[in-house]
Amino acid sequence: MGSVLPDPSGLQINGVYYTYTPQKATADDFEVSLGNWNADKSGYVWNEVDNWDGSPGGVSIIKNIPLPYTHRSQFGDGFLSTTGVGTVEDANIIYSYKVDPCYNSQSDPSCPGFVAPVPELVDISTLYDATEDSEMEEMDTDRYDDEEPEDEDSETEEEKEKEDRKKRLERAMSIGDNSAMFAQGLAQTQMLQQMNAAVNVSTYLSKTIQGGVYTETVQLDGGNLPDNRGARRMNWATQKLHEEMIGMQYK
Amino acid sequence: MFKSLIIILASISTFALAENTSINGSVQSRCIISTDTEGTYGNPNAYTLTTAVSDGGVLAVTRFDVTLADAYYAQITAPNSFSTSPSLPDTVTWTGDTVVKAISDSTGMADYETNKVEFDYTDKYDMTATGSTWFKTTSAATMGGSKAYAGGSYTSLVLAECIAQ
Repeated sequence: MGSVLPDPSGLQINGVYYTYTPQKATADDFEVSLGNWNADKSGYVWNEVDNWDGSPGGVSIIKNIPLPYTHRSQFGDGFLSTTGVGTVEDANIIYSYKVDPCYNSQSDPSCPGFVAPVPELVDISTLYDATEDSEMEEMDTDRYDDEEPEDEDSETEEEKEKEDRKKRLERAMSIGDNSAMFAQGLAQTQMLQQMNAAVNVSTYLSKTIQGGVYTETVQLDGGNLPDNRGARRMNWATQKLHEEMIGMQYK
Repeated sequence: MFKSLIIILASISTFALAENTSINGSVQSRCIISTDTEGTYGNPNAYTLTTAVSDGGVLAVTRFDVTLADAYYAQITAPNSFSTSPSLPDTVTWTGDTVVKAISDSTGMADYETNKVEFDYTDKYDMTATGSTWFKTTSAATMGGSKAYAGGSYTSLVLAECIAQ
C-alpha cells in the first residue's frame, strides 16, 4: 500500500470505490474477489466478492465500500482475484482518505500535545580528553626526558641527545612549514584585497560642467532666401549638366 | 336534580372534548434519479445527428438509486423529437435505445438488462434490488431526403421515470 497512498503519516482511509467490467459468457460461473489484507495478513480490512454466475458479461460494476476511519498502517496489500471462466477489464480501485495533520503532535506547534523540543546537551568530556591526546603525552615525555638525571652512561646520553635533537628539528620544521603556509595565505588575501581595490577605482575622470542655457544667436529676417542673382549662370549650368546625365542613361 | 345535573355536566363535557386531531406524515422518495452524463450529438454527415462515440457523440447516462427493492420500475424513453432546434426542412427519423451500463450489485442486478421490457422508444426495468444502476441511452436523428440540417443548436431529452409498482 505504500506506493498507492501518498506520504503523510496521519492518513486515514474512510472508503473504497471500485469499478470493473467482467467479460464472460452468460452460462459460465465467474466470481471476482477484491479487498485489502490486514497489515499482518491475519484477515481483511475490507473484502467484497461479486458473484457473476449465470449473468451476462460486459456490464460494469460500480461499488462504494464505506469504512470507519482506518489508519494506513492497518492496511496491508490489496488484491483482485477471480475464480471461474471470465476476465476482468478496466479495473479501477479508488481509496477515499483524509489526513490528520496532528497525528504526530510534534509535527506542528499548534497541535494539541505539542511539547517544545529541548536541545540535546553534549557532554564535552566525550569530545576531548586531554589524557588521551598523543601530543600531550609526547610533551610530557619530553619534559620528563629533560629532567632525567645526568648519571647515565655518556654513550646513552649522547644517543638520547641525538634523538631529542632530531625530534626538536622535526618540530621546528613542522612549525616552520605552518608559518610558511600561514604567511602564504596572508599574502594571497592581501593580494586579493589589492586587486579588488584596483577594480573599484573609477577609470573615468569626473568633470563638472558649469550649468547654463546656450541660446540661439543667429536670426533670419523675413524668412525668404532668394537665389543669388550673380550665380544664375552657375545654377543653370549645373541644371543642364544634371539633365544631360539623366538623358545619358536612355541613349 | 342530581341526574339532570349530571346530564348537564355530560353535555358540557361532550362539548369540551370535540377536537380535530390531524395526522401528518411525509414520504421520502426511495428512488432517486440523477443525470450522470449529458449526451452530445455528433454530426458525421450533413443529415445525421448521433450520440455514437465513433461519430464524435457522447451517450447520455442516467443513474437510478433505489433503497427499497421490488418497489419501483425504472422507465427510460429515448428522444423522438427535438426540444429545441432551428426549423427543420423535412421530417426526422428517430432511433434510440437504452441499456444497463453499470450496476452496484452483481447478484441482484445482473439480470436487469435481460429482463427489461421494450416498447417504442421506452425501456422498462424492474428494480428488484437496492443499490445504484446506470443506464446509457443512444439516440440518432436522420433528416428525411438526406437533406442537411440547418446550422444551429439542437437539443433533445431523455425521459427517465421511477414508477411505483
